Amino acid sequence: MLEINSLVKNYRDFTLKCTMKVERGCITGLVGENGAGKSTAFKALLGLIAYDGGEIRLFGKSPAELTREDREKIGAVMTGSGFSGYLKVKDIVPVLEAMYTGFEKEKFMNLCRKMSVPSDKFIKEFSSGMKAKLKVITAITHRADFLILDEPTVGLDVMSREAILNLLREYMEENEERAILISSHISSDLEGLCDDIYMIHEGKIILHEDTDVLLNEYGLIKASPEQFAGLDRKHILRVRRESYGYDCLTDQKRYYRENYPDIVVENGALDDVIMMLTGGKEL
Amino acid sequence: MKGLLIKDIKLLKNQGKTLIITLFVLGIVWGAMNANPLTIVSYVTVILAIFTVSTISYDEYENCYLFLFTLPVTRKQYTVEKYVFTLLLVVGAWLISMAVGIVIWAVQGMETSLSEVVLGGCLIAPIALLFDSVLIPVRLKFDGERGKLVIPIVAGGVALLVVCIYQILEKIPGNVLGDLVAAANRLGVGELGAIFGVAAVVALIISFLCSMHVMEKKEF
Repeated sequence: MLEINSLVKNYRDFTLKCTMKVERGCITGLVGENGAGKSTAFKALLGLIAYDGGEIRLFGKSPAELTREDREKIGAVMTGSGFSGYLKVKDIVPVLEAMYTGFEKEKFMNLCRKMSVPSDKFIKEFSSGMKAKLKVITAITHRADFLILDEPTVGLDVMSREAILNLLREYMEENEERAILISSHISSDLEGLCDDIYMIHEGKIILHEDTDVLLNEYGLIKASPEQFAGLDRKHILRVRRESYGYDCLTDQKRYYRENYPDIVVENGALDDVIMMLTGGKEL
Repeated sequence: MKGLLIKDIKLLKNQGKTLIITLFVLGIVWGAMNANPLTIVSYVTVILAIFTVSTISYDEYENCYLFLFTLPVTRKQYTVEKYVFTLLLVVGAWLISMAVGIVIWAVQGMETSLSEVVLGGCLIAPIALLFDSVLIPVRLKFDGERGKLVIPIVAGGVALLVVCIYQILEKIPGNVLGDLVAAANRLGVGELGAIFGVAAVVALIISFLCSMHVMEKKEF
C-alpha cells in the first residue's frame, strides 16, 4: 500500500530520515514525541510538502502522480487541521458528496448523531473532542482503501477514544485489503490497535517491530548494581541508571526470567520501550 | 472543483449573509436619497469582489489548507476554483446591483439616459475583476498575518505607482497626459468598457498563471 524508502526532508534545524512500509490488511502505528517528525512524514506522503531525497510510493505512485481518483481512496486526518470553522456539518455534507463518488451520507449522518457531533453549529464552536470525531468520521465514510491518521484521538476522553478505535477496527473488518497508518502519542491506543509499530525519534526511525513481539518479547529488567554486574548482556538493548541500580531493556525477556529468577523482569509496555530507546544508553 | 465551489458558496451564505443584507439596505437608502445608481453598482460589486479574497482567509483559518489538500483536490483545481468563484460572484453581484440601480433610476426619473447608466455600469465589473486579479495571487502567496499586512501595502503601492506615473507624464514635454485624456474623452463609454473588459481578461489570465505558480510551490 505504502512504501517510503530513505525519505529525506531538510529544515533549517531539523532533518527527517525515514524508511517504512504499510502492507494491505495491516494497521501500522507511528509513535514518537512531539517534534519527532511524524507529521512531516505524513505531509510528505500526501504530497503537501516537497522532499529532498528518497522515494515515496503510495498505491505504486509518487505523491505528485496521485490522481483525483487515487486521492478518493485516501481518508486523512491531520492534527490541528480540518474543515473551515466557518462551516457547519450540514454544509460539509454536500461538499463531501461532490468530492467523493463513494461518500456514504447515511453512515456519515448516523455516526455524527451517534457520536454527538452537532450538524447545525459552526465547527469553530466545537470542542476539540467534537472536531476530532468529525475528522475521523469524514475519513471513514467514503469507502477509502487507506487511512492516514495523524493523532486522530487527540483531545478525546477515554470513552470517545475507545469509540473511535472501535470505528477503525470495524473499518478494517469491512475489507481485508484496507490499511491504516496511524500516529499517536497515546501508546495504549496503538498497543491495542496496531499490527506493527515504527518508533521515530529526532527525525529517524529507531525501531520497527510487530506489536505482538513488542508486548510479548520486550521487557524491562530492574537490577541492583550487583545483579547488573552478573547479567548476561547479550540481549540487552539499552541501559539506564536508576536510584536502585539499573533499568535494562531487552527483547528476550523470557531468557532473563528463566535464567535470572531473582531479578525483576517487567513486561515491556510501549512507553517503557520508547523511554529506554530515547533515554537509555547502548552497551 | 464542484465540491470547492459548494464550500465557498456555503461560506458566502454563512458569512456573507449579513454583508449582502447590509448592502441592499444601503442600496435602498441611497436610492431614497437620490444617489447615483452607479454608486450602488460599484459599491456592491467591489465589496463582493473582496469576499473572494476573504474565502482564502477562511481556508487558512486554523490551518485548514492542510486538510483541504488531503481531499481529492489538486492545487490546480483549487486555483481554478478561486477564479471561477470570483467570476460567478462579481458577475452575479454586478447583475443584481445593476438591476437594483436601474429600478432606482426608473423610480427617481433621472435626467441621465438608461443607456448611459448601463454603459457606465459596464465599466464597473471589469474594474472589480482587475482588482481581484491583483489581490488573489498576493493573498495566496502571503498567508496568515503576512497576508493581512501585504494587502494594504499592495493597495498603497498601486496608488503610489499611479501618482508617480501621473507626475512623470505631467513632466514630459508635449502634454502627453492632456492628449491621453482627450483621447479617452473621444471614446464612448462602450469603447472604454470594451478596453476595460479586455484589460480584465488579460489581467485575469496573467493573475491565474501567477497564482498557479504560487500554489505549485506552496508547502503546507
